[in-house]
Amino acid sequence: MLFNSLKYLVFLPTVFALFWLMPQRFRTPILLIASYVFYMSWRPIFVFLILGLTIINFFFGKWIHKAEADKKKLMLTLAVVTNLATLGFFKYAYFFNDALAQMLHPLGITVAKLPFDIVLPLGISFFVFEFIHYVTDIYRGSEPIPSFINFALFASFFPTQIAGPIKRFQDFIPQFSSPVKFDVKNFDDGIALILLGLCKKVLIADNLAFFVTGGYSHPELFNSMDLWIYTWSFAFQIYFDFSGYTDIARGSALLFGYKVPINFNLPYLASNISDFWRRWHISLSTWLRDYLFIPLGGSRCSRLAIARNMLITMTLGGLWHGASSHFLVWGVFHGCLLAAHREFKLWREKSNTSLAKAVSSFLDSKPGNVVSILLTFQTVCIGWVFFRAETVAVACKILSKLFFIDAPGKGMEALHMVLPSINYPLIYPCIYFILPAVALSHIFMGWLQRHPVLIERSPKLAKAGWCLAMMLLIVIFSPDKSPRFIYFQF
Amino acid sequence: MATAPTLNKSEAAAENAVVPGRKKFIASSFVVLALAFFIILDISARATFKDWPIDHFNSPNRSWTWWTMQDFRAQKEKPQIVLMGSSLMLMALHGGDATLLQFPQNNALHHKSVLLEQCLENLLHKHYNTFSFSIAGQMVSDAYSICSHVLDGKAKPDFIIYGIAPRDFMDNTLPNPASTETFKYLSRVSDLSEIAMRARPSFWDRFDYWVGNVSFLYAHRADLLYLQHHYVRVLFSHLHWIDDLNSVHAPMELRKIAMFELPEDNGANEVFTGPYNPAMKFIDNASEYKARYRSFNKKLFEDQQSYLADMMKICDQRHIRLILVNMPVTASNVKLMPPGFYDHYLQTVKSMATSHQDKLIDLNDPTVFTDDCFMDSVHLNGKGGVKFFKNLAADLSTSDALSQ
Repeated sequence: MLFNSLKYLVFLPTVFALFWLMPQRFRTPILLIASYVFYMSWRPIFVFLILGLTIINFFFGKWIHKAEADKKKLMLTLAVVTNLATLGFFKYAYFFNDALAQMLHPLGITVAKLPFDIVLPLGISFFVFEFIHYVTDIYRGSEPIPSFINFALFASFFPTQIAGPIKRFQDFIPQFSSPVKFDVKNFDDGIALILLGLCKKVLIADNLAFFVTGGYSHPELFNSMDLWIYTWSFAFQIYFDFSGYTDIARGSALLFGYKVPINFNLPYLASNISDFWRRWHISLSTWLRDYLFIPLGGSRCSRLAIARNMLITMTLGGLWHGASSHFLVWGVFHGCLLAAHREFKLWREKSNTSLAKAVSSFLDSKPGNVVSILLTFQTVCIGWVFFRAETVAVACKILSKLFFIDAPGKGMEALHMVLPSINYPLIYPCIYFILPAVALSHIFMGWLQRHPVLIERSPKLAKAGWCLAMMLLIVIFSPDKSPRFIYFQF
Repeated sequence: MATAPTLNKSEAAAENAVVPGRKKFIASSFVVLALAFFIILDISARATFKDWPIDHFNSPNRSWTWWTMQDFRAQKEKPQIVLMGSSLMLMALHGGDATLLQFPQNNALHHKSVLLEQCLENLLHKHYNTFSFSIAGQMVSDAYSICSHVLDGKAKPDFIIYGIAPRDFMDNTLPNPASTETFKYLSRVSDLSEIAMRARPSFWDRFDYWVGNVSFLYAHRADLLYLQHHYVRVLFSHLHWIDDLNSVHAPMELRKIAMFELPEDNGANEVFTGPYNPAMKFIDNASEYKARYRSFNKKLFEDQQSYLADMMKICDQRHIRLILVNMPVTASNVKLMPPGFYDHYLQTVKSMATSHQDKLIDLNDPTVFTDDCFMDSVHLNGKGGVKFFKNLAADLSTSDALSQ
């Protein structure tokens, strides 16, 4: 069931009411049952997958914890391989089969197509990563979760089940150790977050999605400026879609008194690529750091090795998003950027040349900060071209146009197009207003973040007005059908 | 006197942990306050709705139903013959007229059958005004809704020629009758409450309807969207930036995407049907119809059958002569249907027509409508359209179908 559906509108209050009306000892089981019902609302058969992996990883955790030192690594390896094999089968079987076929074709060897259909279970990328985190941290010395029910809830917690944030059990499970009390602030903040998330998804992301589809499906029709506008639109589409989902997930969790990690921290205000990855999909980037980058050696090796580690981490991070070469290229792109940024940072810090000092001085200034932010945003947008385009070839075509290398389009300017719109508040020409508005909202949110007291001390009436405005917008603009959240496909 | 048992300290604390002061909760929660404001706004909207500057016949999206209704309301005199049906009738009509007149027909603006009018005039020496309510995707439930809520009073025609086909009774891609654009449009301009539940067989559809009954704003979001679109257009007209927001200015490649993403929103300059061109390639739409005919949905079929029965009753009550026409389809399309479905459909329609003493003209004759009369497996091309209306007119003229 989608968060922006009537089913969820019935499901969430029902679980909320049951949770708070029941005695404390029933609350975790209620949430667990609700989480499994939530998962089964998509394809009931796959509940056995998440249940099976939960049981396997629960016992792996116990075995790793109890195992002797020489056996621990073996058990961990088994656990990680089991999880990755499951993910690999469901997500990458077609990809590897096609890649193998392409590799062997020049040798005259034909690789048969897979004789069965594989359906990608929703949320598999997320809960497998949580399982890997669990077994790895137990290996590293954390205590396993003693209660199976708590562990099962950690893995299947419905607000974060399908598209994260990827939780850490050391932060999540202690919240169950003491009885949770109903808190009006949690209730209000939770509902406000849910409403904000729905607005982001329904009002902004869905509208931009349609706009972006027009441009990216036929880039040959548009000129460079048009394609930049489509690319910037996608940058905000994916941000509002994913952060909207996270807001709903966090808000839903708050209703039960539980906190889940923040996943976005105004990523387009990042002043460099490293800063961007500290702000974008934070739970994934920290997972990649802790369970891929650091085991590869992290930053405690030679400069070349560090660059290699960054490249491998981000390449696999790209592949995690999808079994397609364009995601792979996106990952490689960010890996190269991170490695390059690290070198640039070292040069700034260690070089005594006047150039280095001038550059540092400029970048540390306010205008320099603005330039850094704009450059970082543009660079990330170049990466988004690979993310959004259906193939690497299409991405390259778009990029060549973005940088004026390709011939101009047929002259149809995107912004002067008129397409009627159904249930969408945007018609194409409105993008002139919408795009600057969403960009400014990012800056405004950054400013609000630096002045949290404004939100905390704002009068109840103002907060109620804000909630009312969001309720009205969602009710009025709720479409009959809404595209899925982008990250559901991962 | 017995007194109510009082809670001891720990029980009281436990209760507070669950619901800490209902009054305190309601008083301190800004969400509850927002909800209260929402309810007040909702009630106010309900009370003041009649004063809102909304033309219910207008719409935030220009569907085929919208275009048809605009044209129908602009008619100076009521049509004697109304044509109804899905895209099968629609394409036959446009293709036939385009071929007759040797001029492309604008699907948004052309709502009469010049060919049928001419054929009937030639055969019967009498002029019949026609109007076409054939709309792409029209189900029998849509035809019933149009018949019962639009073709009434001064707008009542003398005859309805309804081109029916198996898909009109059973389309597996249709969630429910209330999901069609025709139903949604007519829900705004008239009261379809008598079929509201019937058109929503699933629990969630009915829940959605119930939410609409509870929240006025939710039920009337199409009206609010219309207002929003209206004021955006006013703003743009003041900016003098784009002269014409009523026509589509976008490459065909994007329109094709929009056809799928925004299927019920069409500009006046979008879809034209040209005269018959023998060089035009046959379009293979087998996969589309395979999905539509995926399985024999008996419930859906019988539901649509009941709408046909109701339509027949209304025509009887209003003294409208209903003439059913079984549309030609290709043999390859019939093969896509579940086994026995076509015969079941035809038998059902025949027996209903007989019992209501309505005329049924079966024009599905593969020896007459050969494959070169079709542009795809179900839609007639210009040649087929001309043949269709000539044959129809011939049958109408030789029978007493058009005598009152």
